Amino acid sequence: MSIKLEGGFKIFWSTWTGRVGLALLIILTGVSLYTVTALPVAEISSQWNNPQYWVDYPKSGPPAWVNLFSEKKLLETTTLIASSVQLSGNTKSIDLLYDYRADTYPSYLTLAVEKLRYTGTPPVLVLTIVRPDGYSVEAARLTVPPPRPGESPPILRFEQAPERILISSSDEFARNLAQLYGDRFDMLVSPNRILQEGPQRYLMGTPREDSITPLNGVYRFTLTAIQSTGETSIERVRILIGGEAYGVMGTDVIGRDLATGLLLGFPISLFIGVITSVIVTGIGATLGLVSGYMGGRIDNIIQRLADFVNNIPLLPILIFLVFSFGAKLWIIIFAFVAFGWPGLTIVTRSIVLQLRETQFIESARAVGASRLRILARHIFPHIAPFIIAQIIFFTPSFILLEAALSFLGLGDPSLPTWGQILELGFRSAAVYLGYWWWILPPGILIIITSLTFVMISLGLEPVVNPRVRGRTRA
Amino acid sequence: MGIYTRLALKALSLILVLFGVLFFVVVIFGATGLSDRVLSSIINEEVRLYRQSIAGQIHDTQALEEAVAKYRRELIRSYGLDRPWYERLPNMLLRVITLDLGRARLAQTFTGSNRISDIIMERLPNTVILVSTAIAINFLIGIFLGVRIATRPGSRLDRAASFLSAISYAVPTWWLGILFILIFAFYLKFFPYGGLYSSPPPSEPLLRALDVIWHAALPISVLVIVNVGLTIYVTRTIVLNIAQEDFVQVARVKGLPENLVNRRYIMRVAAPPILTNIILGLAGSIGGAILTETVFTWPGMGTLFFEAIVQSDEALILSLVYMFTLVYVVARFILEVLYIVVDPRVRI
Repeated sequence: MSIKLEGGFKIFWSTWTGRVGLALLIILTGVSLYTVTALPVAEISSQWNNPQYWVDYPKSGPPAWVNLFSEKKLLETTTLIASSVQLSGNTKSIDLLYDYRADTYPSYLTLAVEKLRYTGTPPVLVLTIVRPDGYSVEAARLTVPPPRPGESPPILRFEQAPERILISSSDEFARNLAQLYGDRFDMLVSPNRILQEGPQRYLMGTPREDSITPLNGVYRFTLTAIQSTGETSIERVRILIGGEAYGVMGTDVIGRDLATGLLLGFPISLFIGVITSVIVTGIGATLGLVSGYMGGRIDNIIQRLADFVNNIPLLPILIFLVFSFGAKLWIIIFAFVAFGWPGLTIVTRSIVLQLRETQFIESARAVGASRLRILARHIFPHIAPFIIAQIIFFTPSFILLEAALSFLGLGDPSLPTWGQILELGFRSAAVYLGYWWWILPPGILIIITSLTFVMISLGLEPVVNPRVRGRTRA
Repeated sequence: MGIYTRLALKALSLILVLFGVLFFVVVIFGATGLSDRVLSSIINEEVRLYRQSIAGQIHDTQALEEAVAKYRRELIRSYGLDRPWYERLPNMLLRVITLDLGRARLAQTFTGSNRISDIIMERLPNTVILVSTAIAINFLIGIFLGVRIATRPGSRLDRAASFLSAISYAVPTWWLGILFILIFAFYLKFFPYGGLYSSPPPSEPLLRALDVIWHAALPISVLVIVNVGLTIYVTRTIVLNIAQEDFVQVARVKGLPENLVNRRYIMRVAAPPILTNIILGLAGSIGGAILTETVFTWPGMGTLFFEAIVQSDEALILSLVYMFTLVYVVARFILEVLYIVVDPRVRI
């Protein structure tokens, strides 16, 4: 058996489709395994549906690398993060640096403080920004609430949800900027006007010939804790500088990072494709074996049923089933299985019928082997390679079906899939607005995944079906 | 078996499929409680109309309410809403078959009617035009190229065809549609984004027809491109297998002209399996059309299906499952008749 397997692999490897397919499969499996093991999948997929995590990201932002190809440099959304910050003793402040290189201003600025712990008097956090030209301005001031009666130190604050301050719409900040412009540039602007035009424009710009132009360079964000006694520690400080472009894959219409969604799509689509295919093939082949070998009434019933189910237009009935029972993953898989098996049953039966008349089966029967034994020991090994090839061959059709259902709005909403990303893209008119970064990658990934299995099954063809060996070589 | 017996048997089995699907669908509809919701919305609508019609005659509010309540009770009894779903199964089946399922939630016809039967009858021709044109073009190209390629197996064209068929299998029709819209409508602006006519539609008949063709060009190309690779490949394989048979060799050895060998000896034998292949691909084409119509907002039954899902319109979805199965069954039957024409063996 092992020699046979080795020989089979050699033939498989000799086809280019086999090699490319296998390489792609290894990559897909690798990415899926990485996603499932290295990333906190449960957390990420709940974040996918939770606005708190992406509310700060730009809406429908193209990926950051478009700047490499375009004249006008879009500002990339940047998050400055400081973790486990200790503000005690001599170090009462921390610095975060931001290198601003773009022709557009940030769309917003936010400060988020997560899980603050203090002893002694309640601290006041002050965020000051020092511009590349050396001028500094106070951007935000956050008074941490004092202990409640009965609370003992250390006092924990902002633990449920991070405390967010939208700096770019703060009156205080606008007033400070107005003062800065008045003092340093002799330019009189009202805080109201600054608020209307966006304080971030004034923060990251400099007056030149009556207008404000971007001031590129390094900005220093300093967070200071003012506290008469005691110490303060913060688990995470985030300063978000909102741009138009975001990350590797861009964002969707509500600001979700598409890279996350696409990454989560890998294990889900492989899982759906492979699991469904295995179940469908298992059921279809078993019924075919039974039908072909038993003959008689069982054969008749199975074949009638297979004919019947095979004649039902698949997509409308699947839509109906998933719609009636709810879009849950197991219902989708169940529906695929319920209507996917007949094709294989019919083919397996015809192979078994041919095998049944061969001499080695006849001799086994003559020796007195039981029906089950003949099925298991003599017929099954002959069709096993065919069945394995069928599992691989059917996998892409289920991946595509799931994508199609998702695209029609019937995907399992708790799991982000490529089809669902495309659905939202289509429904929010991404196609008509030309948001290519949202439309192209999920589709290309669906195609690559399907093509992987198609190529492997093309490579397996000469192994399973020796007659075509000569032809592919020619 | 004579032709007519064969056809009658086929028709019978297809009708069985139709009824089987209907039965299955209606049972699920009843068991999940969806049919209750559909019927009660029909009743609510009728009660509302009734109240309007008698409000002018009865001015006493209490009497009015009583009359309305009485009417509602009558309706509930006549629609069978007071009985469990399995008892009103035959009634429900009949309703679906006659498309008597009340009004759609939001969908409307062009003239503003929201009766489900009106909407579906308005959309049906659009779907039939789109799908049948695509299938016809697909098979004309597929058979023409498939037969040509079969004469030179292993050539560059042959390998391109087998590659194209692998692509056919891996590319979702609807995504290709989106891609085409992005390229040909958004960037190049050669074709419209979707729909059936420009707005306003041209009034002159010839211009109007051209306008429809201009709108149909993208969806039809998508449907053809995704399916044609497989058709070419299958046709080529069937023809190639037959061309290697002994009787073809004999015909060649006899010195018959190549043209005649192709027509009489190869194509005559290859036609039935090719047609079988068309029949097998039909269900897939109909499914693909649902998605393609949606992408191109082609006002057919596929787009209607998408709208029904988005609006959770149970009655409309039920009717559409029935209509799609019906379209499929009818198309199957037409192809079965064609099969008898091309395959003389079944005529004996």
